[in-house]
Amino acid sequence: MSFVLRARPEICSGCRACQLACSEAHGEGFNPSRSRLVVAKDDVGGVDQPIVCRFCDPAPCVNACPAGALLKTAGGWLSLRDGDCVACRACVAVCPFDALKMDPSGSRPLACDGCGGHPACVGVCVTGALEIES
Amino acid sequence: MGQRLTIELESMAATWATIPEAEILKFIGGRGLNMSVLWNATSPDIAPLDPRAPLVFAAGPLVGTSFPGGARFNVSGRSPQTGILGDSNAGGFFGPELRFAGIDQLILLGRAPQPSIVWIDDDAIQLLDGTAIWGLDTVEATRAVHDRVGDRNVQVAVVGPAAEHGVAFSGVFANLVRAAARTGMGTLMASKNLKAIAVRGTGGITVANPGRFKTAIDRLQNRILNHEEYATRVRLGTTQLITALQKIGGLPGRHFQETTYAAYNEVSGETIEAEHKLRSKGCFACSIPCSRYLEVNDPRFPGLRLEGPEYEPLAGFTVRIGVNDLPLALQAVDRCNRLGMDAISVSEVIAWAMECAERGQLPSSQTDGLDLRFGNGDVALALIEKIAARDGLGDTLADGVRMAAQRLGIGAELAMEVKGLELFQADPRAMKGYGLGNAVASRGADHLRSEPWFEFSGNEAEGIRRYGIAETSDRLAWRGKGLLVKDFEEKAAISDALGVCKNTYNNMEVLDWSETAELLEAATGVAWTGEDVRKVGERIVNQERLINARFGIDRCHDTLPDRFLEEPAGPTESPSAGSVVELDRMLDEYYAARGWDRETGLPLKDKLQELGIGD
Repeated sequence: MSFVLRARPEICSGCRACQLACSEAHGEGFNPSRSRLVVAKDDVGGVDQPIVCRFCDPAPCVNACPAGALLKTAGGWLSLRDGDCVACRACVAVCPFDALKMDPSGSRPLACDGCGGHPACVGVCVTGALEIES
Repeated sequence: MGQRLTIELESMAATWATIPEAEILKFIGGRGLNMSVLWNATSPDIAPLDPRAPLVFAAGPLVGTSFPGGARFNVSGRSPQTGILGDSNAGGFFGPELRFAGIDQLILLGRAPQPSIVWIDDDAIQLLDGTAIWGLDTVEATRAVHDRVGDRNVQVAVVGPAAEHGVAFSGVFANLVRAAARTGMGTLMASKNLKAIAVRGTGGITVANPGRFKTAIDRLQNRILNHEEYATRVRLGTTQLITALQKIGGLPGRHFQETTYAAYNEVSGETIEAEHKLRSKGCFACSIPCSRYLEVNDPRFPGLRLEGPEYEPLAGFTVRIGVNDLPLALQAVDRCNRLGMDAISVSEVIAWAMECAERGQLPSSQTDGLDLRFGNGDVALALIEKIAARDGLGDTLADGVRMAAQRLGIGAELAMEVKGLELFQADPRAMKGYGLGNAVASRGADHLRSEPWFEFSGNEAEGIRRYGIAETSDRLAWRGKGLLVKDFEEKAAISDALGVCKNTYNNMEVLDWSETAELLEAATGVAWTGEDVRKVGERIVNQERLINARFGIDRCHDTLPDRFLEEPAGPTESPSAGSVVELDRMLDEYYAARGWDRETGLPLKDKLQELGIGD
C-alpha cells in the first residue's frame, strides 16, 4: 500500500508531539531535532505548519543522490542505505518542500521511511492535523 | 544523572557539574532541586537584587519526554516582591529545549557588565551583547533574539520593559505567553542585566528503559484521552472557570465584594470560544491542547491576535475590576504579556486602587487624573502602561499591593495579598481548602502550591477513604482541610519536581504515587516506591518552609485578608452566601498533619530528621 502524509495546519496545535514520536520510533530517544518532520512555528503570527515528506513520484531527492543511497520503496516512502550515504546534502538541496533536512550531526539526511506504513507521527496527533491518505 | 550548569555572569565562566545522586533522590528535579540550591545559597544578609543572589532555572526528569505536558520549568530565587521564597513555573517549549541541551538545572550568578543575552547552543555557552534589545517588549525581544542567532526554532525566555524598570512583579516569558510570572523572577533576571536566555539543544533525551516507559505513557495517554474532562479542557482550557465559579459563587467580583457576577457570560470562556477562537494550541507534546489562539476584531485594538488567555488574567481584567468588555480585557492581557508583568498582581493593584477610590480613601488628587472606579476599563489599560513605566500612581502600584498600601497609608485591610503576593481570582470563602492553601503557600498567596480540587467533588465516601473525613469533599466545610491541603501540596510539589502539568497530574489525577514511581524508575533507572515519591513532595514543602523561616516567616504570616475571615460572603443569592473562612481551626489541623509546631508553624526537629533536611 502506498500513501501520502497530509498536514492540516489550520488545526495543528503546534505541540510537536509528532517530532518527538518520530525520533522515539526510530530508536533515537526523545529528540525533535532528529525528527523526519518539522512543525514550523511562528508564535507571533500564530503559525504552526507541519512540514512533511510528500513522497514525490518521481522523487527529486532520490534522483539527486550521487551515491545511490536514497531509494524509494515499493510503498512509496524513502529508504536510506546509511553505509552508502556520503552526506553531500544534494537531496536536501533539491527538496521542493524543504521537507528533507540533515541530521544535526551532519552525517546523513533524515529521510522519512513512513515507519513502514504506520507513521508514529500520525498516531500521536490528537487534533488530526496529520493524516494518512492512501 | 542530571547536569547542573552554573554561569557567573560577571566573568562569563560556565561550569558543568553532575548533580549528586543523593540530591536527586532527595528532590527529584525541577522545583525540588531549585529549593536545594536556594537552601544553600540564600541568606537574610543577601538582598533579593544583590548580584550574589542566585536565579535558578530547572526542568525535571520528565520534561522533554513523551509525558503529555512534560513541558514545564521552574524559575526560583529570593523574591524582590515579597522578600521571601520566589518561584514560578511555566510551560511551552523552553523547558524541553533546556533538557535537549543537556541542562537539568541552570544557575545564574552575578550581574553581566552590560545588557546581555545568554546563548546556549548545546554545550557552547556565550554572552551576547543585548544592548540593542534592552527596552523591547517581550514579543519584539523574542523576534530580535531569533534574528540575532539566525534560527526561529531557538527557544527564548525574555523579560519585558517592566522588569527593566524594576516593577516588582515582572515575570520571565517564554513563547511570548508562557509566563513564569509570579514573585518577580523577571525583575531578578533584569537586575542581572539579563534580557534573554536563548537555547538550542540537539542532544535529545534517553530514558533508562524505553520499552517500559512507552508502555506507561501509552496507558497514561489513554487515560487522558478518555477522561470525562478532556473535551471541555480542549475547548475552553482554564477559561471554563468563569462559568464554573459563577455556579458555585466563587468569583472575585469587583475585588471580592461579590462572589457571583451578573455579567459573567459576557466575559466567559464560552464567549471567547464563540467570538474569538481560531484554533487550539498546546504546550510541548501535550495531548490536551488547552490553549487557544484568538483573533479580536475590534477597531479600538487593530490587529489584536494572541494566544490565551488563561482563566487568571481573564478574570483579573473582567470580573475582578468589574469590566464586561471582553476585547478590552484581551487587550489588557496582551499588554501585560508584552510588558512582561504578572497579570494576577496587576489586576489586584488596579482593583485595590478602584476600591480605595470608591470608598473615598484614595483622593482624586492622587490618581493622576484617572477616574478610578469599577468598570472603567480604559483606566485599567492606562494603569497597566503607567505601572510598567513606573509613572505617577503606577510607580506606587509597581511594588505590589502590600507596599502600595503602606506607602499611601491607606487600604491595608483591602489589600488582597498574603506574604506580599497578590491573591488569585477566586474567593476563599467559597472554597476553604483553597483558603488554607493560599494562607500557607510557600511563595505567598497561591493556589498552585496545593490546588486541592477534591473539595469540589462532593464525594463523601471518597473523602472518608482518602482522609477519614467526609467533609473534605465539601468546599464550604473546614474539617479535614488540613489533611487535604497537606496531601495536595505534596502532589503539586511532585508535579513541579517532575516538570509536568498540574492540569493532568493534579486536577485530573492521572497517576497515583506508585504509578508515578514506576514511570520515574523507567525514566531514570533508579528504583522508586510510591512512598519515596510522596516523601520527596513532603520534603520539598518542608525545605521551602525552612527557607522562609530564614526570612522570618512563621504562623502569624499564614493568614488571609480580613475580608475572608470576617465578612460573610455575598450577595445573598450566591451559593456561598454567608460563608467565612475558619482559618485558625484549619491551621491547627494542618500543622498537626505536617508535624509542625502549632504555636510557631515551623517544622519540628523530628520531622526534619525524618526527611533528612535542615542541616
